[in-house]
Amino acid sequence: MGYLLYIFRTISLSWPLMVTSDIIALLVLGVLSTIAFLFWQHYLEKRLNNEHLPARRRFPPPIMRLSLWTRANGRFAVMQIIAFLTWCSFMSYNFWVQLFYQEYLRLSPVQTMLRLLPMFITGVVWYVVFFSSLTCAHQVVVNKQQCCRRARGWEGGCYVPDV
Amino acid sequence: MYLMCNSYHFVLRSSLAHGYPLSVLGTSLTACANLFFAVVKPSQTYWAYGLPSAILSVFGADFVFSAGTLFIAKVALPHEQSVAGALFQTMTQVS
Repeated sequence: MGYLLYIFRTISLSWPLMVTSDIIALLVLGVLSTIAFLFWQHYLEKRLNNEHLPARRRFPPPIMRLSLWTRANGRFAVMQIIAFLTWCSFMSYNFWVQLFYQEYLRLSPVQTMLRLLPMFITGVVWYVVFFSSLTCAHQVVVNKQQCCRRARGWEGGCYVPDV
Repeated sequence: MYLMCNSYHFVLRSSLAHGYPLSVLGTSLTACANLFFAVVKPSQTYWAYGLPSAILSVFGADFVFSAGTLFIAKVALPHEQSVAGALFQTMTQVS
């Protein structure tokens, strides 16, 4: 992955000169190492789950189990993809908006900052609104739980002493 | 700020259904922000396209990040939560 990221960065920096030998070599190496890493993790996970095979130093527990991506019927992977795509759109939005204001409309950086200020303000306002509603909702939820627990008491089998 | 938002989502998610509405809301609002700039007319005033898109664009990042972090931490097994969180951060940074 590191190789691949380096290549993407290099390509984006020097687009016309991208076809050089080291770029191609690193590209192939990056793809192959990523695939090899996935197979290696798959093998380690299978070996860990197999009780008949002894544990060896050469075969440590996997860093990233591939079955991690299938948790909750694959919703884990879906959430990762959603986050990935959201950040794709957000970052490209930021990038193109700055280009639009500064390169196309020829505004100064301060004027661009002024036009992007609503992002900052909206974020802060939402956080404040959320936090005030959070404290209310949290109090309601906690009070309700404690009341239920007190009402059930010892007979309910889940008595929780007051903190 | 990050802590506040995350705590809010934790409470909201425990009462609502797993924060899916929040993710949907956030992603669609960010998409709206991008759409605003896709159809932007440079001759129009800033208040027509620039301001709505600037306001809407932050929703997706806030909602999806906090709801997603909590969701994957809940879904993953206890000893895998660190890996799951690191993967989530990596996915957002790589994009």
